[in-house]
Amino acid sequence: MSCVTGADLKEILTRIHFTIEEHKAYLSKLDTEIGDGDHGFSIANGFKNVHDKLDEFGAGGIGDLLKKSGFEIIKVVGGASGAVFGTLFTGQASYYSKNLIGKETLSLADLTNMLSEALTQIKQRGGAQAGDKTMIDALEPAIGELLKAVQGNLSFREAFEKAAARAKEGAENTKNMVAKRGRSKNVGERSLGFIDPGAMSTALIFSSIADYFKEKES
Amino acid sequence: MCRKSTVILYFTVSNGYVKGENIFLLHFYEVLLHFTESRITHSRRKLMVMKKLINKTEDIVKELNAGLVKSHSDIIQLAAPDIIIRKKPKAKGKVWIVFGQGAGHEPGYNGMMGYGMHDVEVPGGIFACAGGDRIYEGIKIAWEGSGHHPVLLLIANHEGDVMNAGLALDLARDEGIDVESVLLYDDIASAPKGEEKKRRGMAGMTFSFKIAGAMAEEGKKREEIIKKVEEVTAGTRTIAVALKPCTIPTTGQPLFTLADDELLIGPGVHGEPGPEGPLKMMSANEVMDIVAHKVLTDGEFKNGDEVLVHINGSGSTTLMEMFILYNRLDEILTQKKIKPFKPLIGNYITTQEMAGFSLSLCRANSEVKRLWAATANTPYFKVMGGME
Repeated sequence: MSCVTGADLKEILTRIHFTIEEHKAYLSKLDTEIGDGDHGFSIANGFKNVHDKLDEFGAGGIGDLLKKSGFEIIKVVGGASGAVFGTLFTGQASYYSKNLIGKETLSLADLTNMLSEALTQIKQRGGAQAGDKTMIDALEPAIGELLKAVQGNLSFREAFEKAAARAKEGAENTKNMVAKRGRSKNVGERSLGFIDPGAMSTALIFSSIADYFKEKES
Repeated sequence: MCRKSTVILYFTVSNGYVKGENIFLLHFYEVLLHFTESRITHSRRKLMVMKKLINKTEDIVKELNAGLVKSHSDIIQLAAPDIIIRKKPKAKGKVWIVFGQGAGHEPGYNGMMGYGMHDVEVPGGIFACAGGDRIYEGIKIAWEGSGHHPVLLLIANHEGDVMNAGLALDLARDEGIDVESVLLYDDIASAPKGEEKKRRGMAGMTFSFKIAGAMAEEGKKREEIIKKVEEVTAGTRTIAVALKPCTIPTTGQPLFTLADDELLIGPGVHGEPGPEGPLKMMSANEVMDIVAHKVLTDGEFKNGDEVLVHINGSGSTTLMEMFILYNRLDEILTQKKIKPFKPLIGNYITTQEMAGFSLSLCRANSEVKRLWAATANTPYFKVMGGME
């Protein structure tokens, strides 16, 4: 496939919902180690609500779908996770409405640019950088891989397979980091050895997208 | 006698948790317990069973908001299922104060709003700040209610609260609403001295709420209120102690683990572990000696100072214990010639059934004392005006 449509994005959001739902107890367990233990359940609840409203959200096109999905997550999840994971979608929507408005098929470059803008906005909102033991440690390397894939003219499948692998690696690397942001920063050095739950959710989101393209292109 | 009242079961073989809804399994353990009771006194494994009077977990926040408002319908009302406002709104032309936060800390601060405190409360999910779009709705309500008078948003310094407040401020200002915010922080365990603004907002925020609310009620200008609240916040120091974790109502899991003979100094208001590991359990006087020393040193409180005092229970610690703690604190303050003014003691900013407390001190001059003593009428925090 050479482009994605709104219908693809809806299917991807559905897949993300199922993947996060499946892993929510695990994600909450990670959060209990270094935070308040609700990450998996709250983030799963957010994607479930998005999933339940996909028909309504999708009616206004790609920008509308992403914006409404993002605000649904902000509203339902709340807390830092809601703001960060909501911005992952509203950030994409704001790039779309500035640069791609009306375009109903997106190239890999479009999607990569949208995700890059979301990353920028997440950093602004939370003030976190790579290495702070947050979801950015999974998101940034994954987007780096997508940028390379755009340069190398890779397919969606190849691009997201690599991006998902990098996101997972990034998430696992957070084990070696001392938290500087989020509630886990309160435990300081004692956060060493534990995976950041937000980074793991991000890795799961990318693996859901990779799985979708794998299925679609096989 | 039925053993259904057992909340914490001691048992030797399991290392898991029994989920609240898994009644069958629970009964199985109880039956087993009857047979093994005599032999388990030395067991070390702890099974925590969430035992809360709730309905569906997804309905907790909605139902608690509804119940709170119905039971105090003379003071507060719902403006939306998730936004609480005063029953008798503050007059137009005065500064309306908005606050967004996570639920699960009752009565703080959804049960501490009303005359002399804040005007609009936006409770979020359990331990998770309300989304920025909801806080924005709260700001909008204040803007309309006050007749387009400048609005003040209070922000507890927690990442989620700050991010969502930022989002709300952006959304509101895009619409031309005149809103400013002030950041509240006080927990000395969460960032070192010199980096006070990185500290978490804890029970010491109550001083700032009270001072802001009293000034707004008097019709003071927003900028003047902000200045005073910043001053009060900068003069406030808090540290918490946890003896037992709580279970998180949405997950049924304990927030953290702590051995029976341990306590934790410096945990967060959500029970986040503190920077120091657990200490061995100690007496009330011993623990107060430690936390008072930390707070007095960090805040540089000295001979001749006057202080507002708040001992806040985190849920299941008794008033009996809190008075014993205050008795020691008063001795320490007397010895150091620091004068406490109208201490506030009780369960206000709670963390479910967590056991423990926090100690907050705030440097007070005559103006701060006057505002602390000014009339407030909220469901769970009432002050009869006057400072005789």
